[in-house]
Amino acid sequence: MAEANDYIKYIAGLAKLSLEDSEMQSLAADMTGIIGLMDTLRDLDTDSISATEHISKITNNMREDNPGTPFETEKIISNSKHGMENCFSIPKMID
Amino acid sequence: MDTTKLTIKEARSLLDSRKISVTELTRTYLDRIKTYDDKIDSYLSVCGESALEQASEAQKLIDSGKGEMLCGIPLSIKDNICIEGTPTTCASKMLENFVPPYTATAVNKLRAQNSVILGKVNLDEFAMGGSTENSAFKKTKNPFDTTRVPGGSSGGSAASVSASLALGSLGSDTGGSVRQPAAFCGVVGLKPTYGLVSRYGLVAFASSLDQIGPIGKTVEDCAIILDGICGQDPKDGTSLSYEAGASYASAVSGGIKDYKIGLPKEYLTEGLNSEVRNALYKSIETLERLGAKVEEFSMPSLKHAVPAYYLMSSAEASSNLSRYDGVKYGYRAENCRSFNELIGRSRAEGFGREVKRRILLGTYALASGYYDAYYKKALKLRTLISQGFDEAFSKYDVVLHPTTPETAFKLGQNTDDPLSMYLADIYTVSANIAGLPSISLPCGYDANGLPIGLSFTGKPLGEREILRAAATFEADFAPEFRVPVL
Amino acid sequence: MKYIPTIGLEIHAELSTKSKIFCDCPVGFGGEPNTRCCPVCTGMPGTLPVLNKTAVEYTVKAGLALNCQINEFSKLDRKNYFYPDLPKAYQISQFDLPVCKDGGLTINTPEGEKFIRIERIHLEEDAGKLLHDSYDNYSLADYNRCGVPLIEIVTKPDLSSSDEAREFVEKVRLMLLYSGISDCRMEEGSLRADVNVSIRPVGTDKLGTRTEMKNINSIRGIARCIDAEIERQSELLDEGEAITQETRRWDDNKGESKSMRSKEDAHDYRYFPEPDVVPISFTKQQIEALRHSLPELPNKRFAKYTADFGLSETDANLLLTSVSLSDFFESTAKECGNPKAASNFIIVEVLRRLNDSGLAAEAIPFGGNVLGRLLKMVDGEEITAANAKKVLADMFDTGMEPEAIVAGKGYKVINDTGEVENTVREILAANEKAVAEYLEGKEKTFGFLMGQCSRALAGRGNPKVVQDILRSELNRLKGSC
Repeated sequence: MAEANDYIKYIAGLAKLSLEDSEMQSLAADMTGIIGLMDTLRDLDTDSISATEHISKITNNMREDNPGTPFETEKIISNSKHGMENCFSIPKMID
Repeated sequence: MDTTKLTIKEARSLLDSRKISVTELTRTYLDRIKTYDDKIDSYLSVCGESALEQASEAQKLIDSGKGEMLCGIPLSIKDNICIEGTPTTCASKMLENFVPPYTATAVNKLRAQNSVILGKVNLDEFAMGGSTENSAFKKTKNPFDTTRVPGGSSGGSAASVSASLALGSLGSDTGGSVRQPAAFCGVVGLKPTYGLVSRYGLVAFASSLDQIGPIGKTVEDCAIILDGICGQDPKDGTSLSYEAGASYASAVSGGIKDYKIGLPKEYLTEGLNSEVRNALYKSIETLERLGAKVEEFSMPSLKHAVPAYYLMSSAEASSNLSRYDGVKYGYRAENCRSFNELIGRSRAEGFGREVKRRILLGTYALASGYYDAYYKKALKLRTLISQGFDEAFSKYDVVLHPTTPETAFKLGQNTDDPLSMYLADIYTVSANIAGLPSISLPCGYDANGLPIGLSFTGKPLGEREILRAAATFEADFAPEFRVPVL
Repeated sequence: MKYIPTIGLEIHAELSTKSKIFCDCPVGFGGEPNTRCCPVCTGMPGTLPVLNKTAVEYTVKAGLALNCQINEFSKLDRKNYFYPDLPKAYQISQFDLPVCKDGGLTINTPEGEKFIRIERIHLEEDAGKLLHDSYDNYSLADYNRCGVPLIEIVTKPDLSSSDEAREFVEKVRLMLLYSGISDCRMEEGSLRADVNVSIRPVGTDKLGTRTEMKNINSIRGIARCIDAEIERQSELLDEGEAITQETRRWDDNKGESKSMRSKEDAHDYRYFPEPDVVPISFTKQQIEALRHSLPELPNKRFAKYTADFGLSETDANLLLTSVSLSDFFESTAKECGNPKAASNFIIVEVLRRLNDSGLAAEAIPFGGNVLGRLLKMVDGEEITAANAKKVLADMFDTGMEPEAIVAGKGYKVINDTGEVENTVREILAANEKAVAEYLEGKEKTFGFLMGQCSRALAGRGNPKVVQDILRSELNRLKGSC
């Protein structure tokens, strides 16, 4: 179980979910059962089957390169709780 | 006028013959919402004022003889479908205050016909779930028994139509989210062929499985709404170009004499509740009496549809929901000192538990070292299931199956058991996996008086075949059809 | 110890489409933040990407220019990572089926020609920009660049020095410029490169641990970065230390790179097929049609200039530095029928004027064919070379046609020998002393007299005619003595 917890921790990190320990543990418990169901596929022999990488049978369906009018900046940032100078803001990025 | 039995078709003729005005019709629904929705909790927001404005515009068109099929028809919209200037919450704390600056193509099409939009209805958060209990805001109740769930994720849509709080509704169906709540609430729900209805403006759950679909009182009402929302959209590169042909509404007549109907054996498992099974067998007798030939066939890949579905849908969801980071829109955690803290905490605090489960599962299925074992395997099953259906449709006009293994369950009964919730999707997910049209309609009631759903699934773009089968059955079933008593 | 470097490049070039790759927002540079944005390119919920056909065609053209095979079936994939310049938190890119594969270019090295293999070229969307300077505690995100179409050209690790890398990038840049698919303006970031470097001791085969330097946006920077990294790795190995596989950020001002720890956890990109964009397919005929639509590329032009036109390699390369200049030259050469003269005149006269005024070839206010007409007059001895330069100056300044300038200024060469003879006689009469000196055998005075004649003819005398008449007049005087 500890190992499973570690892996869920890794996955939560990858998915950028900062979970509290208690939530991590209870979600890990849920995941054990769910992954058990998913594991029923693991032993199926599907070597000769090709994967359906796209559900549409169509290809291309593209648009012509005609520029349109962009949205007003105000509308673009209207849902941002923390817009500044017509930009989206984030805590200072340093790397 | 008995609103509880009113259909779109009947409303159309009342409006066109001036027996009722659009404003009167709209007010009737707004009043019913005011009176009954405290009990049902189907609406997240009611747009009374704009609905009445739309009603008077619609009336003008009708008066000038220019009203189209859906002109003046009051509808509800699932709250994961965007309407400009109206909050679109996806029933998530994450999007509690999100007001999109654009409108979904399907809604634009309804508005182009001057439908009246009554409001936005409840769902499981981001359409993930089968009971609408995963809504961050309220729990919608089943109009047939308010101690039970309406199903989900389009529980608000199904309940609003069942309780006659809207004449019809738009839901979305990723693994049964239109059909299962329609079955639980005793109404009709249709999931169209993948690509028939534009997904633009539908907040994505699993892009390769999602389709917007109508919920109505009757098969014909669903067909009428489908006529209004279908069609290729330059804003959705996966929407299909196809020959329009006659309207779907006109496809409901003609009967099913000499129809060949297949019933997959794999669906007749022990998980199937005996009352549902009996209703299914009774329905088969009806169909045969109406001239169809029903035959069992085997499609072994269906046994693996549920895990394949959950891998695919969760993988896509994990990616689709990555954009909620607290920066551009949506919930933003306070006092964060770094981007990583901002995004990690906004997501942990803004998403509910089921959404987190799916994100974790999907991230797991795509993570390096697991892709082949999980996600790729699911895509291979997608091939097998599609091939299985291709084969079936070489023999049958439509495939028949129960919509759900059981009828509506009690509120809270399954909230701690995600696994059994997932397994209950067994009959609906395969249509999404293969991109096929599928319709659920009432075929009986259990001992508690709860509706039982029957489904017809068709070949790609085979909407007409399933509409005709469903409408023919529905006409025969009409004397037994019930509406909930509120 | 001596080391052999192994270098691979990932070159990102913005495509010069009019609109973005998945929405119709216009593509541009600079401007106010978030003014070229819409719900699609800012990743708002429910929006969907619709692929720009021209972006795909440009990618195919890039592949054809760089000798790649074009996949008749390709698809887009999602590359998932969280960074605030990427609003969807995934980049739509291509993973296992890129539009182009297996190409390459030949470069010149001191050891001779060398073929650098290109593994693939794929199409993807650009990310936005983060601005760090306005506030102490906040960075700001501008999404104007989000969704600008990019191609990524990935080489095999075939390069072994900064010089080779520079030559390769310059060649690629020219190919893309001539294909008409990218502006390749490095200073605007429309051409950028990631550099992978590893070294191994001479005499060993096993490749060393590689590092990756991201987002270098000048050819000079690429070369400096490679040299610095080879030196850094060599010092580490010399001291017996191990090289860490990592991503490093190149600081062009400081001339050094630094480890980027913040991207450490971003290695698991969880690629999967993009469900919102249907796959791309091309028929062989469509690919051939795109091949035929490509303009003549610089390698072909170079061969033509050197072999057919007899230009030096230096001159050919000079004319090829920009598409406009090369096109201008070709049109001049075609009109005047003398490529060598056209090349000389353009390189000496036209380029000097452009350099003096700091203009690019695009700014020449007349077409190459117009210059060709001027050179044709020189060739036909209708005007003198000296006056041709003056005409050019007027053409730049006034934009007037050369014929009009020649007529207006009276530059037309005098071919009327009678008029020349009269002038020569007048000059000889007016310069008795010089004539006497010449007759005494001072050959040098001939030049002085020649100059006097030219001046009197206002430069319009055909020099050969003037010379012949002057000599025969002097000879006549000599005879009569």
